[in-house]
Amino acid sequence: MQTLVGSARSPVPPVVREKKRRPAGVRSWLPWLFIGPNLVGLIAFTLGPMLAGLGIAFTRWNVLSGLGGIEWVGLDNFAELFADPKFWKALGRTVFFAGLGVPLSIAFGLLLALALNRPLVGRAALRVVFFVPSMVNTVAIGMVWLLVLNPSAGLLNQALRFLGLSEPPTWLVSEDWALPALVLIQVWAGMGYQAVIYLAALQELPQDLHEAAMIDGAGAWRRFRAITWPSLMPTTVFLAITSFIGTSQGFGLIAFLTGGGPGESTTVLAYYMYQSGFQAYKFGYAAAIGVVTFAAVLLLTLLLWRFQKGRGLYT
Amino acid sequence: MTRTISRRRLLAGAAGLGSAALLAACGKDESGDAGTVTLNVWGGVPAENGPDALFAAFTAKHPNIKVKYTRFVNDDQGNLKLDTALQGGIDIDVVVSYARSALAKRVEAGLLTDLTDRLAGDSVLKVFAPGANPASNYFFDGKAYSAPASRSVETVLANKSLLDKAGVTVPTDWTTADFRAIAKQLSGNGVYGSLIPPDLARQQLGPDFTYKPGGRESNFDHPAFRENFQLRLDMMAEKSAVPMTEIVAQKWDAFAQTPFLTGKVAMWISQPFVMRYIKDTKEYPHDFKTVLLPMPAPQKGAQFWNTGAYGDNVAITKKSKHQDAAFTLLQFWLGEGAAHMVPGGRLPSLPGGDTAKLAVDLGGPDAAKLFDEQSLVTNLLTSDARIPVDAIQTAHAEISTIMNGLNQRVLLGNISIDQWARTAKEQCDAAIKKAA
Repeated sequence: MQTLVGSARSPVPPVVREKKRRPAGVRSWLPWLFIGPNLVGLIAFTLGPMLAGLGIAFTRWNVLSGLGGIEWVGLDNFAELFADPKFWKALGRTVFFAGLGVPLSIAFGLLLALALNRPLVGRAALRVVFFVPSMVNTVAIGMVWLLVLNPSAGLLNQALRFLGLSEPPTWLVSEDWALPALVLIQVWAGMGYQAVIYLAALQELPQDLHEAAMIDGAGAWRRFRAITWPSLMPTTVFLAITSFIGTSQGFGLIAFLTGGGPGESTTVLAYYMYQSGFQAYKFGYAAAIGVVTFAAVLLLTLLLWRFQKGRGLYT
Repeated sequence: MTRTISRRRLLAGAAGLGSAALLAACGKDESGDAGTVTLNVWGGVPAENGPDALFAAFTAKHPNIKVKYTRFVNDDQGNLKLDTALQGGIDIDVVVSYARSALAKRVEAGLLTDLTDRLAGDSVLKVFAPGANPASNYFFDGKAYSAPASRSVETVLANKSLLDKAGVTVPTDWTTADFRAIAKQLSGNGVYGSLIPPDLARQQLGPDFTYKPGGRESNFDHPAFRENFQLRLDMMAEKSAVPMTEIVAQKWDAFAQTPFLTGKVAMWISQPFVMRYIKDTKEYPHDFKTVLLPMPAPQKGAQFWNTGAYGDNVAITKKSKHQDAAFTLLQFWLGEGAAHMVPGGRLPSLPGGDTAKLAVDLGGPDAAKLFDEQSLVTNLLTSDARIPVDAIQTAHAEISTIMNGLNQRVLLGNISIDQWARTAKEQCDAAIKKAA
């Protein structure tokens, strides 16, 4: 403990007793002890596989042939990939899936957050209700939506028939509607999470700006456009980036609900990567798809980052 | 006082730990032909559906050979888990492959022992050696790397209550046209007459039906394929077969037993392994008897192939240190031990079993309540149906993937049969060319 020694009668400068310090050797490795377990996990299960994946993308490797069967092929996998019509179609579906799903889930999340930010009866309960899908297992979500989207007996088509639509879409069993149906499920499952993040951001907004704008006669829409939306820009960009990353890796729902079909209509990049690796055992090719996906997401992230610069209220 | 660990001490410790682990691993090895041997067997059948009884009987007969059974789920992930285990040095002595493509991958990777000489030299198992007639095993470059433990004849399983209610008597020499007419008669009131009709292409073309002779070209331009799809599309349209939209939406392609055992489908073409669902009245309660009918002929009086298969291909891994013991197990499995797998619906691959005993084992204690027992004997256990065994393996896995997608598209009405034939031929020919 640090003690001050001295008094008015003896005006000597107070002496600070030095804290007992640990030896230099211990000081240097003690922090590593704390971060070590996490770091080991990160290297073993994230960084290591990522680097291995990058390396494998330049090889031809059938896992059955073992490590001795790895053959260096340079850029061959990428050349084959860019000449593969299935890859381009899968990329197009991924762009559709993410390009439609992410903005929609962010928009609905924001609307939900704005609604839940107002004084409502049972507001706390509603927040929990809307957040629940984010915590539910993918298979459970899939099971519920299988019942909802069943072409003949599903709730949605029964409702559409009740409204007078005699031939409603067959959703997950239609080549045209399967991907939009997956977007719908993705939006439903994701908007609760988006809303919670937006709610936190909305509650941090300084109220004085709104009050000043109201005094100046600004209406609700004008206040949203000029104050709320720019203030939420960093949150929106954060949500967009994390959602694009998550959606580009979207696999669980597709594997459970459609298996990439009907035909190949829901074979997005992540599913094509799975098919190439775990069904055809073309691990080099699958890794190349992973590298291209990573590069595309990285590029998109950088673009979004650049886009937000100078647009937010607090940037 | 602080204690620091020097790098040298750390390395010494790590080396010590490694040596200890290595010694421990060596200590676990129960090899040695003089002592007790433990065989590690990986298969896809749940242990309680036959393997437990089979291996208990085997160990009773061969007390110096114990068996440790590991069940893997026979899907993509399960097979990958098995393959990485095989490659990763985990001790596996015997492995069962269920799909031809999975077996082919293991053979091509050099993971399995060549059993050609052992099979040819065995007075009983020589029927699975190359050159045996009729062929009942898969060969790769003229060599056998496995032997089938089951022979699965396909039959038409029918709901006897629905047949009786409609006053239908099925002729023993019925044809596809009869099948369609009866299915139509059984349809209505929420019931489909059949799940799907017979595979006319396989029935008429037999072994290697997806390849032209020689295997250098695919065969999807053969009229039998067109005939097959036309029949199914017509039957789906008249609701005597389940529409593909319903099959996909309900996932009945993976769980085909559900519509049959819930009375939504009157006739279902399947193999004996599904008997375990019929006998599981807790999971699938039902109050009708299942009658087994022979497969209908494509044309009256015409010879045709059954759409069943020889399967459960038992192989010995090349890395196994117990090749002799493993082959002893294989002999027992396919021979006298095969009876233990019958209650689970795996019928022996070798001919000559005791039919009465097989019927009792297959039907189970409630056979009289669940099956038309006579049909079980006549149309399944004593069936002389010809089972096709494919010999050409070129690009088999790729062709399966291509065809799964295309078949679904034509059956969902997204492409015409012409487009299907054109695309199938084009894509599969390209796959064969690339693989060759």
